Amino acid sequence: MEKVTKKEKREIRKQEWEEKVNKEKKNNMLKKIGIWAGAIIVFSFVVWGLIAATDKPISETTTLNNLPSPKETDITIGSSSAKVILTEFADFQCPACADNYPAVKQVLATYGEKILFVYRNFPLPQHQNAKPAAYTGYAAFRQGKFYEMEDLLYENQKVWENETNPQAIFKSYAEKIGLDMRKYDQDVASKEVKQIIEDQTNEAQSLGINSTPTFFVNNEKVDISKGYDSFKEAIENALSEK
Amino acid sequence: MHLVKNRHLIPALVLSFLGFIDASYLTIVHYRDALPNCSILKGCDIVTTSALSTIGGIPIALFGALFYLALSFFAILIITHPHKTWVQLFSLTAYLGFLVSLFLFLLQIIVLRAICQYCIGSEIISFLIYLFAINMVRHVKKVERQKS
Repeated sequence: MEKVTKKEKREIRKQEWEEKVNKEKKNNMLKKIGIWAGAIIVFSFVVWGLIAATDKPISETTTLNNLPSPKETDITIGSSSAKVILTEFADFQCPACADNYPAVKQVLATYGEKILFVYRNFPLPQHQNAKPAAYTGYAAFRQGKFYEMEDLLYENQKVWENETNPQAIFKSYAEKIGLDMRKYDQDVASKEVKQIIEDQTNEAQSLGINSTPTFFVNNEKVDISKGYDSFKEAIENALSEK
Repeated sequence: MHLVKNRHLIPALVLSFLGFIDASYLTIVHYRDALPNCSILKGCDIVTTSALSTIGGIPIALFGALFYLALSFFAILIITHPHKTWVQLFSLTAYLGFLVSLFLFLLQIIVLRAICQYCIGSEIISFLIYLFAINMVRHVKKVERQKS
């Protein structure tokens, strides 16, 4: 048997010790990577979870039986005797409403007098200019030019959304579509109009609407993910039912 | 002696995480054009949607989420790479956050006269983190004194 010299023994011990240190270093490194990876996963999961949880803002029910029938003060386009009512809860400053507007326009062009379109104002408080925009829309409605004003408000949303004083811009739109400016000025400033918008907002909230735009064909909520086709399908179904 | 005590750091990290959830929720709700779930206290929609809830179109909640994310980042850095700098950065962020929270709290009470549970929650969290940060800094100073 070979005899291990003292020097060799020392060498072996030194090697073992170095290995141990290296292993510890490696473990430490892995642990640190693990902590960071874990943290990134947990934080991403939270964001993803919150996005998923807020994805379906309206309650599971897609039918709203207590949707009130249109009142005289409601903004409507189309035939009041139509059996199919398309209701929109919207906010002129909401980007999704503007994105969706072309589809609504197409619906109005296609179905015209076959339906009644009801525009219910739901200016979300986080949109600073949504209320004045709603007053402007309503003032135009009083002069029979809601549709024209809606066009201008949605198409130029980016222009006025962050203005501190959007009234001047809105006024120029009113002039452009040929409103009676004296009446327009009176209406946008009137308590009555403010109250109507307030009432529509409260009504939307009490119905549990919590995002814009929200559409209903009669009492059925429309899933607008397919754009115009979503509306077409819902309206055709409702028309054929009668 | 460790640079930072676990009983200061771990609660601070957990609180930062909770603050992040809170602020992220409000941020996501804001960008979804939706209203937050305000069932507990009336008035929370007044706060979260008032004109004062954004700075140049960016919701304050987003700044809050970034603030808590930064705190979490520094706290984890202290765990993996213990160094005085990270403790200082953590506490500096925590102090600033606490001051901003205090200001926002007063804004709610005095100007808006409405209270939102998510915001108050965040303000309490930032206050607690501030307390833990003070303790962390004190401890670091103590450790340094012992070294020298």
